[in-house]
Amino acid sequence: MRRVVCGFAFALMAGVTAPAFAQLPTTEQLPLPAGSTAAQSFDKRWDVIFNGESRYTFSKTTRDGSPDSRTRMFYTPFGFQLNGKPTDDFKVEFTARSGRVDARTWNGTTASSYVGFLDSSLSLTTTYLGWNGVQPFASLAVNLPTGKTVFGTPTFQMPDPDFFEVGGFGEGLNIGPTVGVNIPVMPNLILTFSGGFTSRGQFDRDGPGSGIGPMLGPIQRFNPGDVWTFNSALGYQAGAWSVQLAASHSQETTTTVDGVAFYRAGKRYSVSGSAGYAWNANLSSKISASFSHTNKNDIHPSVFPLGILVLEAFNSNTNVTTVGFDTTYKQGSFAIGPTLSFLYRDHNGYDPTTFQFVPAKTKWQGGGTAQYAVNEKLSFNGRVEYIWATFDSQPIKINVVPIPGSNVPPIYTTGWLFSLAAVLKL
Amino acid sequence: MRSSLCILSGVAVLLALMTPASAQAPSCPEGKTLSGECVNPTLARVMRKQAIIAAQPKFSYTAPLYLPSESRFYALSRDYHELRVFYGSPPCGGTVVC
Repeated sequence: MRRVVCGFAFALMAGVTAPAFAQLPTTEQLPLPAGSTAAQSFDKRWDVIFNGESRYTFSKTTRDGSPDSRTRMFYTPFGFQLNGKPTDDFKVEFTARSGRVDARTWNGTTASSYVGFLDSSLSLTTTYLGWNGVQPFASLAVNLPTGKTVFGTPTFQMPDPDFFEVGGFGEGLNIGPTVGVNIPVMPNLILTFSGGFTSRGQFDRDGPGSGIGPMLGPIQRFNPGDVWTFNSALGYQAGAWSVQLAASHSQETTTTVDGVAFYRAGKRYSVSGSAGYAWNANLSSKISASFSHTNKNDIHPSVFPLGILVLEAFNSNTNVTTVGFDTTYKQGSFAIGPTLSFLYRDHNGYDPTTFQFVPAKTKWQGGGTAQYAVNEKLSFNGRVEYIWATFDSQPIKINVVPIPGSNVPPIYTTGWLFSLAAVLKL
Repeated sequence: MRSSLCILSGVAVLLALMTPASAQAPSCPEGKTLSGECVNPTLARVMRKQAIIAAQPKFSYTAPLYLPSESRFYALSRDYHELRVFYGSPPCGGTVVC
């Protein structure tokens, strides 16, 4: 928490001395109508962005015949970026991020909680701008294991990452190099290709008990598979319109536990698109959508000897569809607007690694966002959203034929999200 | 690591402050097309950032490669199966067993 105070105090001191200003500083994302303030960041060779946020999320889950389950999380992520051009032909971008969390899940009889820091990431990207028609870039990112992975009990409950954004509280030392290229077909039309490799380091996690042998002890040595990813995208922005399309493919190596092959994720394919339109100088809207599919995993059936992986009979991965819609109205130093998003994880599947049926899930999230620019350097962003989700009660099916007795009761989750963030741009 | 973050922040600010106020702005901050026209700098920057994030879908579950306020624009959907395997994150969002 001292570190968060350090960052915010520094941000406020710097903001007080800056001159007043009419337009809004933002971290950059499409769409942006013509004349956006983001272009002003390029008047200087260097700029620094500090960003901190405080987020509170609460959810309640109910199911017939079971006690209600509640989760609440105070999440404080923070980070900064340094962007600059040491020469006219080279650009560097450095990003650092970490966060602190206070999370608790309980159902009246059992409870799990964690208060502490999460992992921290550092990344450095270098872009060469000396060639006309192509701008290659290379990036190196490191995830430092400053979080926690061992909690002293195998029944520790993690918050649902679809609601709370944080997926777990830590992992190992991950190193992620990426190479890519921007190909500007026209000044406002860019084709981008990139390839990345993520080397994921080992970490300890709670095991099932006090047994002897691989995977049976109180602590397991988990070694996630490494990931190869290839991505392509097309982006356009001119006048009132902005459009972006992207497609990616990933494949992984084998994940091991205590040195024994545990599972290997199937190949993953995803597509996404977004479109933005500026209705006038004050009003703009954006819609985005994505779809991802993962092939069947290679898993270890319990009847097989350790280390033997076979293709699973049912795909325990879910296809994921997301849709989001935002509208923003800007007037002077203020901006405000509604936001709505939808997530759908399809088909029931049996997860042989956790011995659980996974129902299909539908999640809606809606509310409003607001932004206030104190001056050209400092702005505050706020967000309030209501979340509601349903885990369907449907039997697993083989070729549309339902398996008797495989139903799970429907589960309903509702919750609220409140966040307040500060962005300081120097 | 945590104290290093503060130190790095201070160094970054010092670097920015040391840049002379009269420094010339780059004529094409994100390079040029084949015909020599300046590339849309905002578009180029966003496309590059999106490409790096998309090329690292499992880089970190708790410290992604974008700033906190950018999460609504760059976040990727989670591998739910992996999270259940890694952390035992329950599919029902609580202590309820399906």
